[in-house]
Amino acid sequence: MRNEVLQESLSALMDNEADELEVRRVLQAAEQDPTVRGTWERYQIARSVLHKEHWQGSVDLSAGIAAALRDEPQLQVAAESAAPLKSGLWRNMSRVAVAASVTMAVLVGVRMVNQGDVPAQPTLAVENTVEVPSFAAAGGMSTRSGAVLAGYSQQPGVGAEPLAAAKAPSAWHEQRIGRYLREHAENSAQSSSPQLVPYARAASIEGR
Amino acid sequence: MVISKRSLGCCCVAALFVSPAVLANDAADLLQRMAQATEQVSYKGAFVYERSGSFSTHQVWHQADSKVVTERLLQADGEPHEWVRRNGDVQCASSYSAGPVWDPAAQPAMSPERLEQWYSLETLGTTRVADRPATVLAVKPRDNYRYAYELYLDNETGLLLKSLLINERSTLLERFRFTNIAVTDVADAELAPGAGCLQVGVTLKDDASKAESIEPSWLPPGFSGGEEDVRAYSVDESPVSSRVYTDGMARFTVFVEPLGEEGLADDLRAQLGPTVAVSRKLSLNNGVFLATVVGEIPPAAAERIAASFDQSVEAQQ
Repeated sequence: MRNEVLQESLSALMDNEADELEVRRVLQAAEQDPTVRGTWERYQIARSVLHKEHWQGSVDLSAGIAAALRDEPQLQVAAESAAPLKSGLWRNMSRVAVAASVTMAVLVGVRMVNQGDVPAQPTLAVENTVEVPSFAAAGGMSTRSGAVLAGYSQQPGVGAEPLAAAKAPSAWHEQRIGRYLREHAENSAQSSSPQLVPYARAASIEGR
Repeated sequence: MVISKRSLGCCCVAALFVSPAVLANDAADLLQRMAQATEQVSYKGAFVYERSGSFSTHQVWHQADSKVVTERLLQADGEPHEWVRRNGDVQCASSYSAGPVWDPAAQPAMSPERLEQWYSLETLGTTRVADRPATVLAVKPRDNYRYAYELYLDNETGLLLKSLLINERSTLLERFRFTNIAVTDVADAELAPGAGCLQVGVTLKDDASKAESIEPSWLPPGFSGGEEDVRAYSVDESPVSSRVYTDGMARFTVFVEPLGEEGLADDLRAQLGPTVAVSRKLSLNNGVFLATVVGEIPPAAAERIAASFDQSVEAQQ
């Protein structure tokens, strides 16, 4: 593969602008050529230095993700059987399409639930938003809920369904989700080690 | 780029002297030490916690003497949220949604051997946190069903000074970090709860009217479930069953409750910082139920667990 193309894909990936093809290109190249992984790590370190998080760049998850791409069981197999196309790209496109049936209802939002977060959607680089720390969102102290709720129609295999109108979850359900989040956090804070992190999580939910 | 080249150079030199096997062993020892430090080291300090949409500061007093660990935690900004715990049991809390029915002993202790099946452990180097030398330990998932951690452990005591949670796209999900810490004995007076810290109320544990036992038919490899817990949030509400699953690092809870007439709910996904919640509405012969997966796991994993409820329902019918 031409080096320039790969470099371009790498930096696209760094900037969260890589498409499906580029992600695959990089993963494949990284598997075959350790120097590509080295380059990736250097890019990451360079970026993390910029962000003052010196070690952040050292976490290389590409092996796990490549394996997951290979092994990802076909949840939507039934739906696809109608379509004879079997290429990997098509399979992934179809997953994205299923994901597109997710409808979003942003209540009090810090974080959009978008296609980048969608199940079995394996790209590294869809979301452009910086998630942490979100000072703009943190500034809105009066906002009661930091949770973003997304209701979605759960019909297996409706691949091509367009984005439906956003549907807000019921007040009861929203309140329940809040309670579940709290209870999960409190339970974790009590019984897991290291304990301070789950405690802080629980406190951050209480504090909303 | 000068900095990055230099640090890369350091890594290469280090790699010449230390074999990977030794590194892994080292890392496992560090984890073990971290777990023990909580039970053996007394300290007080302040830490920050930030996630998407939240940034908070906290103070902690932690006293470990002959088998009793007492810990007081106080949120330093905004409302004074406070917890006092003794040997893991909550003594008082300024706000608390549910009672301490949970049995800490029921949760398996974190064992490095078990962890290493699902995560690779690697020491990345040393740095400084809260003015103390610390060793950085990377805990990276071997598959797509859990997040990566970076743990910064105090060289002297093994205490966790800083931790990062990172997703599969190398996005930071949360950051916990001590800003100062003193390893010292803590006076009893400092562990005394403030006026706002209330005795934890009684929970309505409801064993008689068992909630429908619905379990996911698929779990991410390495996760195992604890005891099922059934309780009602109030006298006139139907019981909710919950079960906690963990792989030693990550945890999620599955909640199942019957949907009454007031319970309007649909399939839903919510994300709060590092925690995802996925709900599924299930129609069974004896009614409609709401099953919800809540935990610090990738949304894709939670979705898959939630999707597997349908299969367990089909199997039951």
